[in-house]
Amino acid sequence: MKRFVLFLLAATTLLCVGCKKENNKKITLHLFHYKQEIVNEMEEMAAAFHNLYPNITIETETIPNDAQTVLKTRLFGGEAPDIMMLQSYSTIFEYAQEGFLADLTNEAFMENIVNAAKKSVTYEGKAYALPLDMAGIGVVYNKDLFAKLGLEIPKTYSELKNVCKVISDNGFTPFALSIRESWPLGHFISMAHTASIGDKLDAWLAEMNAGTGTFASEEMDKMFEVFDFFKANGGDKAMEMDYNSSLNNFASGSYGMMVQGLWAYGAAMKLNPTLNAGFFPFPFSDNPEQTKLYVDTDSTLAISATAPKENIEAAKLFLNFLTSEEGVQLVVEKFKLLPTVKNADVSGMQAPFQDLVRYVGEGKTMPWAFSMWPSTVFENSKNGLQEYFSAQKTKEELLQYLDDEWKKTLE
Amino acid sequence: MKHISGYRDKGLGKAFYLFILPAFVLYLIFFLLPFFLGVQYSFLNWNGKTPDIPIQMSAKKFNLLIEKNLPIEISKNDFNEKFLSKINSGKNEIENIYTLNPNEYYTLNLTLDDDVYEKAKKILEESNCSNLFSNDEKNKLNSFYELKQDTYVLKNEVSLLDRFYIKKILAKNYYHNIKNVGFKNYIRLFHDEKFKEVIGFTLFYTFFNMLLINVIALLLALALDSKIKHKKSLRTMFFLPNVVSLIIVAYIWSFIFREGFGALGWKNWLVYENTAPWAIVLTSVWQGVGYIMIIYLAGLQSIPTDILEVASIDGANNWQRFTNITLPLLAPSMTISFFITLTNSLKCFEIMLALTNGANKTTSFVLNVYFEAFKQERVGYSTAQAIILLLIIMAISIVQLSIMKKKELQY
Repeated sequence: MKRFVLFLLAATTLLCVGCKKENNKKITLHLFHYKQEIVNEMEEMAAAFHNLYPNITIETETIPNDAQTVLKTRLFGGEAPDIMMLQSYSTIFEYAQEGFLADLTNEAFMENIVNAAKKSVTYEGKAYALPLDMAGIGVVYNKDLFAKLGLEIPKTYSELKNVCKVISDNGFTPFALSIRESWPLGHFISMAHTASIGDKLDAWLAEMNAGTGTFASEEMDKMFEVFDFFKANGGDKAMEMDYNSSLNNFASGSYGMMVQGLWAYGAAMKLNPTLNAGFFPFPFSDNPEQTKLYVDTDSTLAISATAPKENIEAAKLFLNFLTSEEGVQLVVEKFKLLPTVKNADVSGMQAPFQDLVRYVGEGKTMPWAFSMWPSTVFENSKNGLQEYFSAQKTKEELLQYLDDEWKKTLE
Repeated sequence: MKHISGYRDKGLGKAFYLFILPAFVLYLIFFLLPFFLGVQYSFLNWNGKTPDIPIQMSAKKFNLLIEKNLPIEISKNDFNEKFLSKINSGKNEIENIYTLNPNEYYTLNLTLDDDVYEKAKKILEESNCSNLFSNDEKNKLNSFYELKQDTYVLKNEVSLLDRFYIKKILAKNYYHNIKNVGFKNYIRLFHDEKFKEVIGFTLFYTFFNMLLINVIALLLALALDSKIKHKKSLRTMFFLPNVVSLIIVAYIWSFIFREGFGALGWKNWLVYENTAPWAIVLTSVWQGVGYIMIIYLAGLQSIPTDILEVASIDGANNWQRFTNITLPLLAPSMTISFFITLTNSLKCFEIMLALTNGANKTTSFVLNVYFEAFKQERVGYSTAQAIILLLIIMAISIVQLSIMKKKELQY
């Protein structure tokens, strides 16, 4: 009899183990992202997660160019990836509006995110994505060249003019430009515009979205002087340079500065590992108080609302992992990205990143307004400034064009 | 003649139709069906993202739509026609809960108290203009969506057929996720400055591309048809660019324009507005000439030598033989060559994409269709453009073929 009871007990425990296995059925998540710098690193991240949750496997896919086009067709075709990387602000808002994204407002991992980053993922009061990293756009400068010429970081526009004069007088070129390839110009024009309206950004956005605002203003007029100055200091062949040639030029050491995001610093380092570079905000005016770094949440991760329930839950576990201590450490060390998690340890990052963290700490930052513009307006601002530089559009025509494009999105 | 058609009517008819049936079905599925869907898209205000049915809907909206039978969004025309004109008393109550948007749509105010909606529902019912959902339809809708917190989310397992069904039910209450705008997309074409610029460039490109390719190809063919040395190797050399893909040709030439022209001290043709269109014509002629040359060469070699010999015996000189015998007998080759170059030029796309990406006023028609659909997110509008292009190509080709066919000689 005893044996029989024991046998029953053993049988039930075995059965229970069986049950448990049934609950832990294998889940494969599909992660879609566009960061070509971290193709392998993202896989390492997925592997680290798989070690913690052996029943969940994450397959990553990288589409660097035209990621939005690919994603759009997938979403409309009903083949949404479970986890997708989206650019902060308007991309998230546009997808959230169409109902593609799952609501993450009440998830525990959102508690770990710094408050400044939450605005970029919040649409109509609900959070739809996890902010992954912060990025800055400003002036990447050659520290060695500055030291050699006895130059200091310019805090005002007049000081910048002086710096450029010294650099060109010594036979170097002040700016490594890329005008032939237009995407960096979009960042530049939006940065100038954001600087021109200062702390009235939210009010201006509301006006634009009501169809009553305009890009034109007295302050914006002055920005065009800066644009002309910028182009004039980019060497003879400024019009013919694309992104790669501007990186090559900057890495060669004969160019002093490059107006770019910090990602370009990483790319230039790959071309010339001995490069000694730093980072400072572009001074658009003569008031040093108004010189602020253009920094905000860059990429975010969202979950598809149409994914099966268990996939959504598994995807949430992954996002939770990213904000855990281990996850943040991987983001810093492997991705080399600045995390948006509270109290993250970033002491191991390179000099320009430390500069960025310092500016963020001092509160000398302005948000990425271009991410808040409708995505088509931002797209058109790139070609718009390019056409201004090649004299196909005047100042007035360019501003009018941007106003018109914004109005088209309201129809 | 008579007995042949009679023969066909009796026996061959059925076999003939059976024989073409499989091909016709494929033609229907892969050509005609997408074509008519395309025509349909050109009447929509679709941005490429909006799904055909809502994926998520706030609980409040969902209940108003299903329980109160109030349209959430309704076009101005429908609103006046289906509601206002039919209501006897209480017009104001209905008008007050809707706001007119700039896009001529009335939207329901979602922040009101429940009894206001209840009242509105009664007014509509009394005037017999409310489209009540049957219980069956309500249950169906409820079964397709599941409530998560305060949002109804479309279930993952909803099939394509169910989607059609949901679309049909919602349309009963004037709910269209993608709006119909009638002929607005076509009317817009007439006011679009960019579109005019695009047409101008495409016609410029088509004219010079067609002319230069045919003239140069004919000259090369005449040279190869004469008694020169190394005929075979020359023919291979001239044809070689055609074997290389157009995208690679574009990269080769963009290198030549950048580095080669730079070495000669010339400007890079691709980055200036007045030279960029010619740079594109140059590249495309270099690539396209070989293929057309082969067609002319075949035409030349099929001209019987005895006719030419007779002419020289009769005392005709080389020029007379060329204009009076060779050219007329080449007419069939010309018809096909002009047709090929004409339609290919009107449809050109990849060469501009790779050389300039449409900058400096070199956006071709098809490239613009692509930009409108995927960068500007106006898929409906870009489809309208594509349909106009189809009509233009058909019209020009028919005119060209009918004129040139008349000039062809038989011997």
